[in-house]
Amino acid sequence: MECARFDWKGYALGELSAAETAECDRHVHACERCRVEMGRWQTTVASLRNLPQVEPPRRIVFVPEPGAGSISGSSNEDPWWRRMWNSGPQLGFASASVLALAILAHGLMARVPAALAPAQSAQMEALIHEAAMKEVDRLLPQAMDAALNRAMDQRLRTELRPALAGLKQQLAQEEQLHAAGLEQKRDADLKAIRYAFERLEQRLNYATLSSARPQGGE
Amino acid sequence: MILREADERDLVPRAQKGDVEAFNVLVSRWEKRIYSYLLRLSPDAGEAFDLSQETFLKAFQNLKRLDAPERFGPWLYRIAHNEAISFLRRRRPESDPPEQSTGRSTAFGMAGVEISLAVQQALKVLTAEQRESVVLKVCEGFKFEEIAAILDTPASTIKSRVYSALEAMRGVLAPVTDARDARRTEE
Repeated sequence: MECARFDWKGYALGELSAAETAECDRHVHACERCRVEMGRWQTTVASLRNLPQVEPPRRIVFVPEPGAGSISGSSNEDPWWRRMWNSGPQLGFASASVLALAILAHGLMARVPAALAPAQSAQMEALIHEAAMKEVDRLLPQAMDAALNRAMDQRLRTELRPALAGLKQQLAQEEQLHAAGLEQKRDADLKAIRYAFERLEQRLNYATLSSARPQGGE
Repeated sequence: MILREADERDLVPRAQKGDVEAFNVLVSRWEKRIYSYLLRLSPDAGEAFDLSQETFLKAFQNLKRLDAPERFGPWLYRIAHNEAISFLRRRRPESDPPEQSTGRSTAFGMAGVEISLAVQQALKVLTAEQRESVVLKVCEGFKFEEIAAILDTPASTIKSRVYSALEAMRGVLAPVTDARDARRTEE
């Protein structure tokens, strides 16, 4: 069965070597059955190959955060202090550490001598406690504010997605109305919604892109 | 535009240094192919677009991992493949995918429309693995070795999948293509 050894699928895919292709070409000249077989595989592959590519419904564009200018700069690695500043949990932890150090230092500096009388010792403890509480009152709101700001910022970013989904749904409904030709005046609304949607999407890209800078050396 | 003509070997290192404009040029070059590829894996246009966006975002985040700029294309497809697979795994198995959007057959004329629809129908009879392999091989034009790297599967397995997919498709397409060939003969 000489015909069985020919790989017509490989031929149609262009996977055969030049010698194998030439051998196939010679064979189909003499064999009607294989010529039909080869033609069918070529048609199958060509039908797939000719499937047109589809344009995405919108362009995908990434934009640097307005005013930041750091993303398109020559370096994408932020210094450690900026990364720390941009991270809510880390900043909160750092603030708590500073607070703990301040209390410890204050306690050590105000250590009561061994010879002090019990009454003096109690008074000193009260003073230390009062000073420590003042430090807590002074530093804690700042640390809380900073952590809260970062958390709010993160939340805003995550809430952009649901808003985007809502607009997307609205856009789809408007486009349906438009296609049916029911209301001409919807054109302007459609443009406005599309513009708003693209702006929102760009904002989401800002937020995502700026919070997810390229990871180095992984 | 000069920037658009720039070679990927130039664009990728620039994007790796954080140049968003260079990355946008890469996106504009690949978005149509990536979207079409994802549309054939997950035939809902909205899902395919979301997956495309995620693919490019992941690409930007991980661009420093790409050692060879000339391998950007297959590397991007690998990300798209991983995104699609994890998405399809998350999706409930009982939910039927919506029909593919229309308007993709205009390049063929009337006979072409018929064949294009038949091809889309034939793609549906394949397993997900066969479909992805045949799309990467025939529609996207990758070599078996490149597909093996994209799908993290031996090249011999990919070849076997493509061949069995073509066998299955030929059975579905035969009535349409044979009828067209018969019409041509009559003419």
